[in-house]
Amino acid sequence: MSATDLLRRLVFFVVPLLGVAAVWLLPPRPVPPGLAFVLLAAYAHAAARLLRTSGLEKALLFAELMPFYGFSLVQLSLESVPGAVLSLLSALAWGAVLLTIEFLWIQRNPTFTSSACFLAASAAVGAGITYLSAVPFLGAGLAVLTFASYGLARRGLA
Amino acid sequence: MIRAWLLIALLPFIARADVRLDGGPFLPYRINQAVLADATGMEGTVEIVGRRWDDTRVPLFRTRLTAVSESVKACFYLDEDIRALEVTRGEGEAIFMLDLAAEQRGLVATDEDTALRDRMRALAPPVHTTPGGEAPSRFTLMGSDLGMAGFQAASTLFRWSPPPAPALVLLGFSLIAALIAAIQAPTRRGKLAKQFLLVVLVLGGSATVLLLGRPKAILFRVAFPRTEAAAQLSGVLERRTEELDGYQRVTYSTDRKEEDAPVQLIGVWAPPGTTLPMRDALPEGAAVRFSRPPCIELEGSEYQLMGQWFVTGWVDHVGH
Repeated sequence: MSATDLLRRLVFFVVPLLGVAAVWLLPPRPVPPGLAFVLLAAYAHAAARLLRTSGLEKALLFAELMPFYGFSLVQLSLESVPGAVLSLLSALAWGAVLLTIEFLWIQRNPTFTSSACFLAASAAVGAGITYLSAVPFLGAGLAVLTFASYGLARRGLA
Repeated sequence: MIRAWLLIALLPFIARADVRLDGGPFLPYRINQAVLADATGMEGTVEIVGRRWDDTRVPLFRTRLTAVSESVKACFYLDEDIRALEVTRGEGEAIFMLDLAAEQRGLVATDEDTALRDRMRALAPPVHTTPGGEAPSRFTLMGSDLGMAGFQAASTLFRWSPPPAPALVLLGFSLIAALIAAIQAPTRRGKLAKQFLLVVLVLGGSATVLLLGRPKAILFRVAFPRTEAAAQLSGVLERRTEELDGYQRVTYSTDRKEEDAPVQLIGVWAPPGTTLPMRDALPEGAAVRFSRPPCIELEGSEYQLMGQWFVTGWVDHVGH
């Protein structure tokens, strides 16, 4: 274990922890669940670029933000526990879709265009989480993920 | 505005002849009781939605019917901003509309009604903008009138903090995840083990946060000792906190008989998934004016207050 790696990862968690602390200071206003998803996806993408990770390592960075997303669902979006579980599963499924398609497109070095496309796709997923029915949206995410995983396997990247 | 008139013009086409909302006339500043009847039977989510004069919609009543039912006993709050009621089912399919403005034009207001409206119009509920924190244990009334005392109370007393447990879980999760992620794993098996550990940690952390992080409903009540809007209020209100079934009740009063106080300022925070029985917040027959209409949800045989927003309201027993 290198001290630099540990420090980098600790710094990675500082921003979402500050976000959690802000809940104690802000007036109680509902936040759309899609907005929190977009913010966390953008943060994971930026952190992955700074930490120079891609593929599975980037997916793990994204996954490590999921408990924070769960917190935002119940504390900021004020979803009931079943609703929050569905939104969290949708976020995981669609997040995996975004990362898989990005990895199929650009494996190592993201470009400005690929980053912009990633953020735009994240915004579309965020809108889906907020406005579409939870179960069909989760089902659609799992279906697209199956096709995307097939694409990875076909290219020998899985 | 054009949309509003268009909707009113379309009322006869939206409303189904076999759906009725009995129990009117429905009046503002009250919790109105109604029987929603559908001769063809209702099932699933049924809602009564208020349409304001600016054509925005606000949910007033909601229930989920698990079996086909021909009638539901509904209750809902109204104020003078709401000009029409709309009954919806399923994913928001409108099955009935009632033009309250037209209904009230045909009524002759009694002196009692007029006095109550005048009194409630004068009691503007304070808007809550206070960040989280600890509510003070006492509140001193410093000679202000009822309206100003209400604003002062809302800005200093209606405070609460989210539970600390999920934040501590997230802090612990961050430390452990950072430790695991920083471990060097030179072999393929080591990398797999590290990734597996991280996935288990993420799933465990997410589940724990979802279970511990749910906000709890909270009801604030500030019992004021005088009823006259212009009277100068003085005295010290002491805090009393009670943990009740599924929610917390925080009461500020001069003594322990706050239920007898003729005018109360209440603050309600009851996000979806929490429960706050309506009868605990709003005594039967009291006049009430909320900062934003709360949604009343029928669960089993109990009416619960619910809403994604913190609402404040004046509860007045004087007129009844």
